[in-house]
Amino acid sequence: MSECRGRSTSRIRRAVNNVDLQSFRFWFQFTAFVLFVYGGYLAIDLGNSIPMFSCGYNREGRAGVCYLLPLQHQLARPWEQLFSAAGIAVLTGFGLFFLWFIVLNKGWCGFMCPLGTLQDWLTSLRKRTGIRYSLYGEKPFNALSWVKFVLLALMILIPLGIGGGWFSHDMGAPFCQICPGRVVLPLFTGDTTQLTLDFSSVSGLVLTGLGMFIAGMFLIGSFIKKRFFCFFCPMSALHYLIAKPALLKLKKDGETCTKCGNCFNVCDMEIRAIADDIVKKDAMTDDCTLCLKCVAACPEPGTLKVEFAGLKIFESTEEGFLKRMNKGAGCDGHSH
Amino acid sequence: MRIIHLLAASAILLVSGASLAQHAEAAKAMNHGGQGDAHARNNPEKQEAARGRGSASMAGSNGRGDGGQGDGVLWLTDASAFKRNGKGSGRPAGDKPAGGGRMAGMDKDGVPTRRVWLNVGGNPKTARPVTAEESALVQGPDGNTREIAVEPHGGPYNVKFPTPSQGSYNVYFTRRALARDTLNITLAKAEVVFASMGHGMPKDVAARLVVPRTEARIPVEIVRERQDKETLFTRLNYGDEIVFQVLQAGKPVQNARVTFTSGQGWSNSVQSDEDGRATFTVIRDYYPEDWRLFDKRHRENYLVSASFSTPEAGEYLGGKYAATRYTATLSGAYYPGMADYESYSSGLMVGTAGLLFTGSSVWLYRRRRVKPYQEVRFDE
Ligand code: SF4
Ligand code: SF4
Ligand code: SF4
Repeated sequence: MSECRGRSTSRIRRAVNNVDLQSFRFWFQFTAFVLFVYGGYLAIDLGNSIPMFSCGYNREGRAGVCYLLPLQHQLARPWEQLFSAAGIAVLTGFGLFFLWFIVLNKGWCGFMCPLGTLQDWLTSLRKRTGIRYSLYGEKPFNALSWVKFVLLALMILIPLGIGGGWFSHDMGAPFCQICPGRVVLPLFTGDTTQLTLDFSSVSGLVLTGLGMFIAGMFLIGSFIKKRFFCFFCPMSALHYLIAKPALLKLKKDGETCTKCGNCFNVCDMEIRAIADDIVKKDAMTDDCTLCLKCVAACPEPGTLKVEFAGLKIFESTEEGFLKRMNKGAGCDGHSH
Repeated sequence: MRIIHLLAASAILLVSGASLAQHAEAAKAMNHGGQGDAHARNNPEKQEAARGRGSASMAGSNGRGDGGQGDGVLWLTDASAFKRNGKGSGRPAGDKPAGGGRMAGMDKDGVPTRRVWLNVGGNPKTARPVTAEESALVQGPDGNTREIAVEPHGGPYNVKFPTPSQGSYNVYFTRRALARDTLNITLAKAEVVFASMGHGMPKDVAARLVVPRTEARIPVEIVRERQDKETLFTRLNYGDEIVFQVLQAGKPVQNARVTFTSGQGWSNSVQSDEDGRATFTVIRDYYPEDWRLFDKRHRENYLVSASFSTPEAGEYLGGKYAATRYTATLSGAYYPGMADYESYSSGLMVGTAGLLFTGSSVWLYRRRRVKPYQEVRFDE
């Protein structure tokens, strides 16, 4: 009996490890996109602490609100409120955000975020046209990877400055004003109200102008460069800062790694450390989106694996690698 | 620049109610009162006709003044007179939108509170606070009404009441007075919205919170019909149509004289139709000198009043009367709309610039990279 169960467990494990990750991910992302962009029409409401870009400006369709929007609003409360009763609301909001986040870790980015999915769709579109993709290259990558942390810091400091009376309320939710999610995601429900410039104040004009310009950059950027925007995303920075206790983990066994570079080649985020670092066990870096393409592309048994609360759920195997190779799945990476 | 253009355009439109409505329609995906006058908007003649049956644009009728509401008209508002008249008409001191904490406070138990003031005068710009002693009735979003006694302190009449939950609160002030053989009943009403965070509120709850409510104990009242898809955060904008219904003991009153007066004193009067309805178009009467002075949160208060007489006779405080004259008032706020300060064309232009900039940068960069053999070609 137990032998039988053992056999069926190993069958399931084998099937999981042989999964066609590319199509699994496509359908998962597609479903999540529909849920978060149109779920509101079905009265789905998952609250306002969602740890990815389920944009709050998509008023009709959203099934939950991206945490960055209420966070910026809450932090802009007058200090005397913020450091008393309203502070509790900030902590509760953060607590909920943390609870959502802790389950999937950055898997929210690789599998759920509508803006991330949109970038993947633009990549597929580019592939169809046969146009070459671009890469940041190692130097710019290293030079620019702090941008998301600066954006995160500004996103917190500016609202605090509003609450303290230093900045005008016209700078409210400053990141949202420049976020491409605000401009692009409501368009999916036919809401064009975010395509405007706000002439009511200089700061409003500058921020909404930047927002529109960045939205234009976003469309071309993500068409040419995989996950162009995620590299600068402050949500990703926030994720990374609190990722330690998360349940979903990307693990690497450096001992068995042959540094073949497959994982790096398929990584949309150009994370060199995934191939180069053979010391760290926790392989998730600040830019990682936990898309798991590296696991699918690794030919060494058990070198890269995904764990949920310590339980192995998906790992690299030779068989899985060969299966996916033969299908061409997951191997749309860059070569150097 | 665009804003100046809009300001100038609106100034011209002010003298043409019809075009004003057209402007409003182009303005945004704005809420329309939708009360059957849509085709009259583009046609001044039709609009005149519409006015006859209880619908009007405010512009072009009575003009400026007390709008026939009389200087003795009483009304309630949640905008403090001190703040209202604080800095003239340009950018009133600290004027913030309702729901954003206007005249807000907290009682000692930490429950949010709101305050309303009683004013006298048909022109919101010049009306002044008055003293009174009558108690007020406050109806909460749950439909329950409680009486709030007001201490006679000799200062301007104001009522402070708790707003424990989000929603719209109705505050009523009633005055009865005998003048010769007529009993005058005045009912001043204010709708005060308490809204904190909109995110995460279930849509059905949000929809329930804005449904207009009436109070059975109130002899006469004006009810503002809700805009299409109105929420607690919806603001009335310039160019919006606004519909009021006059009710006496819950029944519509036909042929009541209904007057709408804007924050700067422009007014218009119509007779209510068979359903007791009167429709107005809110005009823009906010013209800062420079676009940099423009404040998208600029609040103006409108005042609407309705009056009519009935042959009801009886006795009041020992005196006999042969007729009753009812006057009901309701005030509210309106703000600049998106179309007053937001521009699609500039937005799309900047977006396209971002697109072209990135596209051409990538293209140029790539072109540079695929021409490494220039010297070879040169040698040829
Ligand atoms: S604008 Fe961007 S950051 Fe703000 S709510 Fe939308 S997706 Fe989130
Ligand atoms: S990093 Fe990318 S996928 Fe993650 S929240 Fe930001 S935009 Fe979405
Ligand atoms: S390191 Fe792996 S999981 Fe992370 S982004 Fe790159 S391919 Fe995806």
